[in-house]
Amino acid sequence: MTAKVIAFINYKGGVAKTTTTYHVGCSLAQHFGKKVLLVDIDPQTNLTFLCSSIEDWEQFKKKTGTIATMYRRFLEKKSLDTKRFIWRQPVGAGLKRRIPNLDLIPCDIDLIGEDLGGAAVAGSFPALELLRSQSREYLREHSFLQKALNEVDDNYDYILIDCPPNLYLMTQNALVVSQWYVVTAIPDHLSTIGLNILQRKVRTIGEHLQSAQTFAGKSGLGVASIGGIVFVRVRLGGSRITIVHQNTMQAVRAEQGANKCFTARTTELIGYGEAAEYSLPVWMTQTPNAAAAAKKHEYEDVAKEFLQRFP
Amino acid sequence: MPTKKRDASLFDAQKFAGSLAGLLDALPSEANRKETVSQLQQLIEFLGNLKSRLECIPTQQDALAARAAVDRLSALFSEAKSNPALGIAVGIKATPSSRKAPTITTEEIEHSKLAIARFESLPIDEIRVALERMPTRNLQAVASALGIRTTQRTGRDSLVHQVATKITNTRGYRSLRDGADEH
Repeated sequence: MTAKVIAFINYKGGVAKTTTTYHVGCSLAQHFGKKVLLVDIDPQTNLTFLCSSIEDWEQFKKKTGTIATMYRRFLEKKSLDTKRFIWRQPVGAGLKRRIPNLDLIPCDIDLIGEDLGGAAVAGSFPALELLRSQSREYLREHSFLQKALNEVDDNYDYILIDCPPNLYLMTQNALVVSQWYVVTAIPDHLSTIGLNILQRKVRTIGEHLQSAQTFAGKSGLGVASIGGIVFVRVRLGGSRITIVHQNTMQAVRAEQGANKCFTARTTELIGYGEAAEYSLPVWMTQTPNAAAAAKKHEYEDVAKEFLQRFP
Repeated sequence: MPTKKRDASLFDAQKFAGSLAGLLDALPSEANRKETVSQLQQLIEFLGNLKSRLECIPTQQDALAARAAVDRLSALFSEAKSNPALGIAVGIKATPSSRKAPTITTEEIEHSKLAIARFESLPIDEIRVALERMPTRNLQAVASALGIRTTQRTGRDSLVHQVATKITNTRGYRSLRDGADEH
């Protein structure tokens, strides 16, 4: 596999997974000249809507299809033909200066039904009497994204997957195809208490895969390793980080190990929401709040550290 | 015992005289004494200086107070940049505020609402084309009517994108909400 594949996960919602996937991807392509493929596997379709207007997406969906279409083809054992589903350079399509080298596999709400199907929930596993046959099916269900992305990974430096806020089948697929997973976390009590649970669950998914491979007589599938924790939406009081957030970040660094946590972080800024409204990264959005957010270069810093961690 | 005691006293007196002679020999000359006093005076001055300098070294508490003061000063200068009155008061030339959007009249906004109503029925590409043909002032009025916050630096290209995205996304969200997206 040529491209480095990284999944952005956290089963908690509202922790800027999509904003981070999007801005890191845009920055890697625009500021660092990398070829990037964004993959939206969250049926909320937010990454897709950050990349394009709803109507452009509807046109693409009608004409080409989305990852939900690909998954249906996978279930029907048809060829995936991933290249066909790649939306070339969607960001800034309405502008004269679109982001080069940044492509997208869009999502749609239809994936939600598919995502819950089969042995989807982390922690469940086929009953013993059906192990051999179900193990093969279990492995097949978990290899959808691997099969899909293997067809195109030679064309990219990085493939970034935006996962839904759960650990169901699609997220498990993302963990199988990725070398690393990155967790985004708001440095407050509720957002960080799940960090250990999340890592334990990922290990469990890996163990289930291993067991299924043993029963099915196959090998080669594993789950991603943790690539880092990015603190997002850090709250500032004036120019300084609030004490609660500072203390939480210190505690997480002490518990998880300083190396596991990104040094770069993003803060809670209105500009990110404002830019999202126009399907552009903050540095391309010419509104007062977005311009103020862009001046801080927060996501460029995260992208820079991302490159150091995954060179 | 008494005789022995007397002998010892005599012996002590002699020793004392000898020691005294040695001590007198060891006394400094007038020049030496002046030099020593002078050096002592220099040492006192040096220690006095050292004491003053030590008192001037800031402590951690002083540093915290200084940092807070710098933060407050920085905030004041930032504010002064966009507030002409404050800028004059603190002696900073106020730069034009990036937040100041062009003033659009009520009449222009009402006129823009009609244009927006016409756009509602157009596909996104046609909206973009129509917006690109508009004079900048009208484009700014349409943006204002849609509640889009712009700055004087917002270029035409961005304005067209923002207006087109706003109109079509509003329409798109409505369509998603109403389930018109079923297929």
